[in-house]
Amino acid sequence: MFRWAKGYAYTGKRLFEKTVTIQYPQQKPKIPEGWRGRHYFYPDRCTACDACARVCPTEVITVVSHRDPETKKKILDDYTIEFERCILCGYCEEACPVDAIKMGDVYELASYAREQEFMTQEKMLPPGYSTDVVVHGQGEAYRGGDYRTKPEKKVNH
Amino acid sequence: MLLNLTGLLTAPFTWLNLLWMFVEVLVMLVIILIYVMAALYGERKILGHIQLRPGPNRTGPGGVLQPVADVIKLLFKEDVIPAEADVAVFKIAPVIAFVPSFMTFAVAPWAPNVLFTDLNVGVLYFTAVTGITTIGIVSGGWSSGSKYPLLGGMRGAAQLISYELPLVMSILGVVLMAGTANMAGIVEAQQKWWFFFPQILGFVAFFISVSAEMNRTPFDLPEGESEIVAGYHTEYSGFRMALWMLGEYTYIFADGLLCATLFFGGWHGPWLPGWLWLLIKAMIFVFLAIWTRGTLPRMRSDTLMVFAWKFLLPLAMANLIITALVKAAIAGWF
Ligand code: SF4
Ligand code: SF4
Repeated sequence: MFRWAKGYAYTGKRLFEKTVTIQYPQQKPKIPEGWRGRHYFYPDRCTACDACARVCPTEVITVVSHRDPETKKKILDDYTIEFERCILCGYCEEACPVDAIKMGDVYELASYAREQEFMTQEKMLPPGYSTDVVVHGQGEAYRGGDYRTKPEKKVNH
Repeated sequence: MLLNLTGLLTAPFTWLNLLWMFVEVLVMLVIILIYVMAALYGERKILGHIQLRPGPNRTGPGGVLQPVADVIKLLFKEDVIPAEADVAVFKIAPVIAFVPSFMTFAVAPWAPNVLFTDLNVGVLYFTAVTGITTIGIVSGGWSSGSKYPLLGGMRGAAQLISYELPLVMSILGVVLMAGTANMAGIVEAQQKWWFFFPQILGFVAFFISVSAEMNRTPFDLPEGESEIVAGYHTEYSGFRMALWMLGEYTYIFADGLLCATLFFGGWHGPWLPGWLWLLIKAMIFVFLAIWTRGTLPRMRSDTLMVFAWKFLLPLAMANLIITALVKAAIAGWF
């Protein structure tokens, strides 16, 4: 019968508690571990194995590489993500054997134009990395823009 | 501080007196408008803090200009009238709903001899006038020519009529104790102690039914947003919407004054002037109404009727009978 009194006591107590709201543009929330935000790419770690590109369900990752004629090892030339179609599933991160592509803590994903959503290595540089590590080898991946010029991608499932 | 308001009504008619009456009404209207702004802001702030968020805080320091922004926005909105509406009734309905809420202030006793009308049936006048708002709500709901307002209007009518009875019955206990239906007389009768203590049962019935009269949670069925969009004022926009809101908030103030007058000794209180005491008591009531809104969920409409007829009305009647018996048994005690 006096459940209503309990309710009043509860809300009355809340009235004097600290608010939990974050004043967003001025204050930023703390991003927890394991957050699936926009990617960070570590060009120095990548072995150009193409695993991420194959596993990506929306086929937005392009890995361009060539083989060293002597050592027969793959060398990374370019790496891009057409981020506007990325579904942030995190498969690429899971597939990568050397942790070269990781889901980051960037959550402000809106932009004014589609082209701005095109992620080059520079845009995906992890914090603390300088652009020196960015690789620009022989080939260059599709750079966004007109989709009619996009090269057909072969994916072996 | 205030003029001797009552004198004007009994004084012989002159144009100057008429002018003074208009001025006084205007002053009262401005006070109410300021109060409504403050109540809008206070409600959003208090509800916000109950829900662990700060409430409006962008417009002006601490968000105090939020109601101003809201009002300006409302006044600049297009006045949309639905094609199916009964235009004349549609236009007049918010006025019918608001004006009685303003008329109730005529009998509010601010201090000894400071009230607009020293009516000897002040309490009756108060409850009778608030009944007119029901007509506004029903006609607003009906004339919109749309189903949700109609439902809201019907719910409003059913609710307001059902709760009018326990309300009046609970007030009667106080009237019986004071021996007068004059608002100022009731306050004077509480010189020694507040009627809240001997009339605690009546107060419970009064508070619940007055919340229902105000159409606020847990009795906001006529405008239950989650069920019938916005109830009887679904089709209203712009300044007509503002009038509905104005009426609603004015009622909280008016009912706060009534509550303070009937149960909490009106202007009586130490140190501060009488009108301030009445204002403080009324504002505590307003705060209680907001707190209630932050606490209780909406009632179901079938339990609403059962509650009014099977619990509140018997409670108020019992209170009335006990009061009458006690008064008869120890006549002259009060
Ligand atoms: S998160 Fe998913 S969709 Fe986005 S790039 Fe990685 S694998 Fe592709
Ligand atoms: S899976 Fe890792 S190592 Fe392989 S291409 Fe992708 S990012 Fe480079």
